[in-house]
Amino acid sequence: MPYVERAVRSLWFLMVFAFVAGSLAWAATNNPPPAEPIAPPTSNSPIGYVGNAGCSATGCHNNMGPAGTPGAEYSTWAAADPHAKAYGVLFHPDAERMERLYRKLPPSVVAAPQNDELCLKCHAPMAVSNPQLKNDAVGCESCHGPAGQWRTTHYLRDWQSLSNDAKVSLGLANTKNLVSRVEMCAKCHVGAPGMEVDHELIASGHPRLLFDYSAYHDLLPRHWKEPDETAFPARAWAVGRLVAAKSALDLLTLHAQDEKKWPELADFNCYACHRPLTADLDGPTSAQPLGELGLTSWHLALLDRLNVDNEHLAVRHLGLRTPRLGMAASADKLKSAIDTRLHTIDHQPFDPKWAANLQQALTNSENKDWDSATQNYLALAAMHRALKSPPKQKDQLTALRDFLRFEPGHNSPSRFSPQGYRQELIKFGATRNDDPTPKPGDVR
Amino acid sequence: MALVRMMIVIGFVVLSFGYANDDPPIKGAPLVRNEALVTHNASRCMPCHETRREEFEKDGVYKFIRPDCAMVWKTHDPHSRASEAIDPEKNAIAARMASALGYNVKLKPECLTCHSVDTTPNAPLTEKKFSWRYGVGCESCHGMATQWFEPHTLSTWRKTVPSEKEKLGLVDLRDPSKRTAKCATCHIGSSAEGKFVTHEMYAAGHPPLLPFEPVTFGRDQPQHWSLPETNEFIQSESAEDALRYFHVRKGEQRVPRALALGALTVLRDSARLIADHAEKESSTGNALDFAHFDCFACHKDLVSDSSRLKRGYDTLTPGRPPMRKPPIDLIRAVLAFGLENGRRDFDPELNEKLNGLRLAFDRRPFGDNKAIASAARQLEHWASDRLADMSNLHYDEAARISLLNQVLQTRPRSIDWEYDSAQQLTWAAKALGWYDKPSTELQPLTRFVLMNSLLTKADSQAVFRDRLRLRYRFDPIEFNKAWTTLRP
Repeated sequence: MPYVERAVRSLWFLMVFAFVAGSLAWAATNNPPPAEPIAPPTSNSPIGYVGNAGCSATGCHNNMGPAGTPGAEYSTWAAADPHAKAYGVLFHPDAERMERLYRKLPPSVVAAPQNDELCLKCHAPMAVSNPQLKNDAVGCESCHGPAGQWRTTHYLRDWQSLSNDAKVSLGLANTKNLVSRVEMCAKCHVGAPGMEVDHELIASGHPRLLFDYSAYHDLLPRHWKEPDETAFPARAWAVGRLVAAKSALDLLTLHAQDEKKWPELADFNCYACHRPLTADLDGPTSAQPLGELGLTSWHLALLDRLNVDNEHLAVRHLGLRTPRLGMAASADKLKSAIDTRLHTIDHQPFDPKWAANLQQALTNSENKDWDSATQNYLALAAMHRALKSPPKQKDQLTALRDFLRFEPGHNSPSRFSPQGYRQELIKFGATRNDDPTPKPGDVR
Repeated sequence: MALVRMMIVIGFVVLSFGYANDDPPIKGAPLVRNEALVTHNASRCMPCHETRREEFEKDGVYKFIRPDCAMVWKTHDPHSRASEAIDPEKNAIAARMASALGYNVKLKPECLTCHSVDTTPNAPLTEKKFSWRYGVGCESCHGMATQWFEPHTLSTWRKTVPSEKEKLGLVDLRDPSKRTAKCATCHIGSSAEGKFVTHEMYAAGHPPLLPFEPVTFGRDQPQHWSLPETNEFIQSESAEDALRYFHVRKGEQRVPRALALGALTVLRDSARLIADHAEKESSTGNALDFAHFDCFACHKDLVSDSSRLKRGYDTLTPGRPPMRKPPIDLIRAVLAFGLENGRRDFDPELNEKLNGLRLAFDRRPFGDNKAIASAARQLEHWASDRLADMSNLHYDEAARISLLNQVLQTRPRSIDWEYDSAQQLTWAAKALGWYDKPSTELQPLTRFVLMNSLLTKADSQAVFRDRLRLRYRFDPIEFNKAWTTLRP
């Protein structure tokens, strides 16, 4: 049957042809060649903010899927992340009063913190250079960097082959590196030159900045996945403490170098002064020399647990009586010691024994004031997450937290005592003895 | 043998080193080394002034002085126990302070200047000598008697003008301003005499100094001197001589004059203290001692619904510790009284001077010392001028009523009532309106302020705690309600 053979042969050729053409067509639509090569911009190229709208297309990062899943980053953030509300709080009456007191505005002048650059630097950072982006609050680009140069290219195949430096030069922030991520958080949550919550702002009504990266991170509705969830809690705590301390010391040095602004009282122990005087009638509760005002221990309390060079930790005992240039010099030395430690800690694998040892040491520690005690609690909570300890320990952690909590209506620890916290720690230590988490000396 | 010699030498060196370092490092003047050195005997007044002596009757001495002034003082006056108050073995507050400060407060010159007789008031702290047998004894107030002891026993002494007596060292305590100034050296402080309660002392447990109202303090001692209105000798003198020798103005009332001039002297000496300290710290570069700042600007429990945020900072920078205000409201009452009696309105000038001082404290955290010194000095001189002004007024019964009305009409000009002002005004009202009468009308105020000035049971921590609570729990609104119901 020659016609049948010829028909089959033609059909075969057709099928092969269709297959090849189809493959080519498929390749063309799914891997379109870029319109132009991805190259780092020249130094004069503007790297601008695009705004949340540029990230939140349904097909990109706003697919309204379950919180924390890929593609649902924007909807996760918008629904539950407190950063989304950061601009809105500027319309609260307390914020208006804060603006009026801080800027010493007469009653005839309208107080508008939503237009004050100092407020916007943290509450709507993108709006500082682009006022139309106020409602984006602490939006995508506040953390991920201005997207002007990478919005349309960061999903292409060639993007992955770019080095980190190249990506950064295009404006993308390196959020995958924990140190640079925390440094970015610390700019607002600890402070940076030109954008800090100083004592004048606190006295105008701004809450005190009590930042702990690990604790804050635990509360955030995450819109990403960490590459190493096992190591993350302990690393987050360690890197978080070191970077926050460094940022705080940067500010301290800056303040100490300004004769007109020194002393900046936000660098010092709030509750050395802000407490009712009768608290002392049974004996001074501070370890500082009498009547002295010491540095706040919030960021510096647990640096010795992180093996920061002990010699430089002496700065923790300095206070208002220290000559300011001496303070600046001491702060600089401690910062260098912290840097050294950051380089080694950044790539260390997670060691459960280290976390257990730390928990043990914290349980046996003395804590002279509320700041140190609260850091102690936060570290215990971080190690609890790291070691995935049993629920009973979580109950006792809650008891520690409740002890530290301010009384309703109060903004200071009026009922805190070092002895009371020590008793709570002893109870916590008893729960540790019951649980199967590895402890020093355990043989497995 | 050589080994033994070496051990002796080493032992000697070690012992010497130990001896040289047996005092812990402490700020300020070193401790008086030996209790025996604080012995200068101030008891030479007692034999004549303690009890009535027959041999003085014939000279009519007791028509002029009280026969038992020293006995009254020794028995009732807390000044006689002032040295015990700093003895850690006798007083719980002193023991606590010694433990907190790390030295024996009984031997510290900064404590002894106010708590004993400083026999060398003009000497620097490191060279002062003290006597503590009778606490803050006679010569603390009357002046060191070395040169006037003999002359004052002579009959010619009584008719010697006060300025001549002053040359011999007798303090003119009959002049209300000079009397107030003498009290103020301790009760407010004096840079020249090295007297000041520092913040470190308060932190160690020193009771807070009460706002000083000299008429009340004098009455509460209790007074161990005769009053001009019942002094037989002074009443028999001519009006000219009574004024010339005893500062007594017949036809006038003692209390309103003492109150008005006392208040201005307190302001003057408070300003002088700030100026002196600020001038000194301008050269050291240190901030003023924290005791110059408003205690409760810092030492207040922070609350969410803060009244401080609601009332604002009155053009001052939020968060900058403001100055500790001298109780100004009584001064306003005195100036208003002056205005009623022909003086011009000095209130705007007072506002201007006070504002200058406030702004100097506000210029930078813990104040700009040069600016503070200049503003405080201006206030001091202004107060001095007002003192001279007000000395020339006539203080009779009408003046008493007028001054009392001005006191009762006083309302706080700055933000709110504060404890110090409220306390001083209450004492002023009581001194002018209820001096010799029971003061049931003042009863509603006792929730907020003290009626008398004595810190009784100085070793009682409960009393100390109550005094502190009176300050930081002071309720300006409720006090104002009670205050505005008072009528003379």
